[in-house]
Amino acid sequence: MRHNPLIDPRELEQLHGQCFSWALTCTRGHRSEAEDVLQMTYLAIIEGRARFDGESSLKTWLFAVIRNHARSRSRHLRYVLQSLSRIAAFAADEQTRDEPHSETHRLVAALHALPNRQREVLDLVFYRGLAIAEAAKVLGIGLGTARVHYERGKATLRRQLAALERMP
Amino acid sequence: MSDHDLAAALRAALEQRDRVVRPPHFATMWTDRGERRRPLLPWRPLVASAACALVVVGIVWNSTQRPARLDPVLAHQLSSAEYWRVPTDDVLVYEAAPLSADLPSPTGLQISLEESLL
Repeated sequence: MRHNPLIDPRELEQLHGQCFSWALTCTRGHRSEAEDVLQMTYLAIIEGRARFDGESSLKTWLFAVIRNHARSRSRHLRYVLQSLSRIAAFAADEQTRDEPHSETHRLVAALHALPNRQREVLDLVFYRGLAIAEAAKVLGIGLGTARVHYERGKATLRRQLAALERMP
Repeated sequence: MSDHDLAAALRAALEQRDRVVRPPHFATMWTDRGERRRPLLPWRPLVASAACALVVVGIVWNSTQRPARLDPVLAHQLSSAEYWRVPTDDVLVYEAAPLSADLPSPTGLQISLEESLL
């Protein structure tokens, strides 16, 4: 690849599923948003606006680029998404009112409801098996700050799960 | 719930989510859409310039269109006291004359002295 000689598209293809899954977490489970973010990431790589210098692993670097695109996109669409998410949440609630809430559904909903950094650090450490130091690199924050978000995320998640279990 | 249990439950939940929400094919996002967009980018300024040039040419072409010269006979009829006898359809075939249009020649009008005094 002309702008990113250190990236092998075959390696990228192997990481594609994980990248999409990470984009889903960054966009709080919005599929079309996740697809757009991933498309923007790939375009940035092809056009050389995002350059891999090999200082970290390709996966860590990719996750950081995806997260940055998700954040900048969410800043632009914040006002639209706020109103749309209210409508979507209402519609989802209507759809699933008669269905029993499974443990899986509750956990994913609770994770998506967490503040950005808490959600992201828990996903990276618990689900993707990254060390907290690697997660800090992806998020562009210090190790100490990442640890704080990790601990707060766990506490918030436990509180939210307990609250959800008390709901009828 | 211990850290270990929380991590295991979260992992299982996210695996379940990823099984339900499948990623789009890599090839459609990387090659077809990504590579196809790139060659078009350098042409965008040229296409925009050509479109602007076409608009300018259209405006200039329309502004240089001249209406037909007014028939001297009709002009005479219109300048007479009985101008109202001229059929409207005869007048409507002419576009409005621009301010810089040539007026009919006074010799072609052949207005009598009596008529001009009226």
